Amino acid sequence: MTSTRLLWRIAGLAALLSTLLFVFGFAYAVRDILYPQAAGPGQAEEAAPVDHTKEPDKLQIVAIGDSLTKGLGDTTGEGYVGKVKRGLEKTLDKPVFLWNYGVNGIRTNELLQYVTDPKSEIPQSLRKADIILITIGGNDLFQFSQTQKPGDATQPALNFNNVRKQMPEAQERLGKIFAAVAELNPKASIVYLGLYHPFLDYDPAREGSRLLGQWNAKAYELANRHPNITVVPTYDLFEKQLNQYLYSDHFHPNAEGYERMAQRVLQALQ
Amino acid sequence: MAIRGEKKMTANSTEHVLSVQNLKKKIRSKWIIKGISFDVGPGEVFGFLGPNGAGKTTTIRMLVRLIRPTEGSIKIGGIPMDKHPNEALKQVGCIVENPELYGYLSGWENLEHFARMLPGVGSERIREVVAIVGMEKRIHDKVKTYSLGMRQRLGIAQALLGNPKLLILDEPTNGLDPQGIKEMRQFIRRLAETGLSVFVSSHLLSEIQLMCDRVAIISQGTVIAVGEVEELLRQADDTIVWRVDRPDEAERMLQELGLAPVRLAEEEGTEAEERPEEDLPAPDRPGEGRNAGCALSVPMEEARVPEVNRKLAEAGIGIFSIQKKNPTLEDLFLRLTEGERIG
Amino acid sequence: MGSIYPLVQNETIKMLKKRRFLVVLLILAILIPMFTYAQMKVAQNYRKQFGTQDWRVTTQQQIIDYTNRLGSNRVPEEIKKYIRVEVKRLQYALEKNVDPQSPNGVTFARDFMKNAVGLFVPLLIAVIGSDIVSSEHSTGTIKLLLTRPVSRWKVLLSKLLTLLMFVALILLATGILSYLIAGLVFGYAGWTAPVLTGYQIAGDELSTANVHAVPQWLYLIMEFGLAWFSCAVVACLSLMVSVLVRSTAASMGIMLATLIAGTILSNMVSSWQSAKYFFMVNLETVNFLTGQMPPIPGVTLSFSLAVLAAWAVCGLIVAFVVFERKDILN
Repeated sequence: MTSTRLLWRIAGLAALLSTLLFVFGFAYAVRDILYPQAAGPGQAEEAAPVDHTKEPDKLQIVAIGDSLTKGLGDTTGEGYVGKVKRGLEKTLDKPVFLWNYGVNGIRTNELLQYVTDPKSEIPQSLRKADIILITIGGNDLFQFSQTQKPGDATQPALNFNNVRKQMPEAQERLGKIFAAVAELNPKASIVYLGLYHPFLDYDPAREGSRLLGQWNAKAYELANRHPNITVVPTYDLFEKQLNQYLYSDHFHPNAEGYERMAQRVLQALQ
Repeated sequence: MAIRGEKKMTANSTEHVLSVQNLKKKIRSKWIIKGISFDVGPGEVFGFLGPNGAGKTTTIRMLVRLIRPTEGSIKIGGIPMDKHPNEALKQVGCIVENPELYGYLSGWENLEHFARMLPGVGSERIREVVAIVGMEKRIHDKVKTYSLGMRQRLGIAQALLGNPKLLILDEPTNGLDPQGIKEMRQFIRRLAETGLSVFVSSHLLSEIQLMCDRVAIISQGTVIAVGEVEELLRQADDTIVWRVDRPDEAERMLQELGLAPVRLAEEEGTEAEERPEEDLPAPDRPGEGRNAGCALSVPMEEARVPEVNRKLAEAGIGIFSIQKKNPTLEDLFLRLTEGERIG
Repeated sequence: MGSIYPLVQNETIKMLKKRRFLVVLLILAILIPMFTYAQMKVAQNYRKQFGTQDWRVTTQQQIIDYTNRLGSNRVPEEIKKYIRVEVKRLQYALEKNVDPQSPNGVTFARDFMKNAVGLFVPLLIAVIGSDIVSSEHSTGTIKLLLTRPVSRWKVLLSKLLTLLMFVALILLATGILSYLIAGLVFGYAGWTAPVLTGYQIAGDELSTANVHAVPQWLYLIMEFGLAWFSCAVVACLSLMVSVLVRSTAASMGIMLATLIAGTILSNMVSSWQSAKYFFMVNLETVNFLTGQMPPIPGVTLSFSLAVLAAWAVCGLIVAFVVFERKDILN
């Protein structure tokens, strides 16, 4: 019948043409993978322009920093950043969005790299933020001797000499981070969380407390150079009932500890 | 009907259309076919008779190259199958077992399908074969809507597509109603009259008897008789049917007399498998008008009837009737394959 | 070869009339909208979470997530290797300002095929292929097919060619349907968007030395070309199974089980090295375009293609030898 013949013609032709196309694609792909040619200059320039303008009527939080930003130890998974977001959502009548760039275990040098790296998206994001939350420095100070992992808190080898040696450099980098962030976004409210002493109970001489005091004082000083940076202290939050607010690794806060930190931040923001 | 020209046929008449020599087949170290030979001439309807499992289908499959023979040769129109299978197959149209066609295609599409596999067969020829089997009305319907008889006819149309010299039909009347059987029989005779050779297999003895010129009888993988149907029938002894009241005793006595009685039917036929009801023409049926007892069919000379009758009567066996039967292929077959049937 | 043309015509008509291809199209037409919907949900979720559809933000977020996983002690070293490569790829995309996942009809077609070539499309091929010979057995039509004056190898060759035609048709249909359906949601633009390719993996290092951008349409053809090769191999093997097994259901079952076992295996092969010689774990040659780590370290495109080709050739030899010799007993 003619319909059968027509069907055969269409199917046959379509199959033949697509097979040819696929064979070409196959050959091209194999050649391209096995003998790739480097890009000519400017080949990737035609990318669609990305719209970096801020959208109105929403609040954008950008969080940068170490494991505290990431929320390590919080079994609810929120961290203080998430809790701040939730708190703001409750009080404000607009959507709150959070970009969390926290990376476990980083120190001031790495964070400085992140906020100044032109390849990274973080500077762009910071520019778009309404609120910027920063935690950093804990790893610089408390990863005492490299042999000791922070999680292994049974016998923390408190080597404060090391800390004393490293502190000036770390403080200098903190200043650079503040400067970079404030420059990227002069309009946002920037909050830096001060450090607490997780090993207070192993430190009867309170040697570490003195050092932390120096760090936090320096942070105040550095922050004061930029009108939109606020330092929120956390030292006192963990001073009395340390174990009640710390996670089982004896280093990071637990959910309750993060909650107290978040309350502080919310108060500072309002 | 333009199946084969008259002149061509006479030119070929000295040559066998199908010639099978010492065909053997071993499957899994067992000889299924143990040496079969026969020839089919032009314009002849050749019967291939045997009980189920005798090797009929295996032989037919070897004829059309579905199965490779282990030994022996097949020539079709003088062309050896093993050397030039395609040239040999070009001269054959066949239906192996049931006419299984593509149910999701129409009859016409099925014929187109098989026509594409034959050189030089176009829609002209398709129209011709459709006319031969008389299926013009339903040819564009899907095959799955066809009755068995129509499928059978479409199968034959398909087999005729390539102008074959030889038509191989495996149990062509299987499953047809009496009317269909009659039509098929006439149809096959008509094809043969046009010069086509037809090879028909059957386990239905009456079919072969009514349709075929010559017959080969096969049993357990060997041909036990080949010849013209009439001639074979003449060879068969007369058959006397004894209807008696105590068949077991009678059977034993007849055997003592050196005869080979065959029990035809019992009260509630336990023996029906090889001979379905329609197999036996009405007059032969032993149950017809009987008062009681059982019929024993005994191949024997007519002259011995009085003697046997007396012996049975002396033994106190009641005889309801003694009937002389014209020999049929059935009797012949039973006699030839006696060992298989009784022993 | 003149006589092969009508045979292929026969097989194609049968395949179309049997409605198997229609079933495949139907499956695609049902599944693609589901995937489209899922993709749309993902996009919406990103928006909800980050308040932006800016791919740069989400890509950076992805990098950060990966970086965090790298820092964890619980992540096994093999996965870390994989993550490091992935991070590098994403960073490169940021640097070059090329969205690795811009959503539009073309990208969806691209992504869909990338994910489907490992299992889904081969399954469709198997559905069609495993029945191409065995169905003739189960309907008994094989007896008519093989008593024609046509050599058996020609009959099987016509079935193979038809199968390859339908491989192309299925891929074509997958591409067109996914483009059309996803385009309804994501738009039909994006043919010329640049896509990065040319990544090379040496050990666990990702080399971007030769990375270059190609327009998306060309990338799509390359991807489908590689997918086509994998599918053609599956088709050859389906044909073999179909010749060896008389029942359609059984041959389809064998093919499906093999393919599904392949996806399970590829998750485990990092510890069982010799599994790389199975064809099933080598189907996803498409991944070499995107610079993703192969499932087994050390597997290259040439290796995968060689394994696939070897399987296909062996399968075809078995299929043709058996088909040529076997007695049709039922």
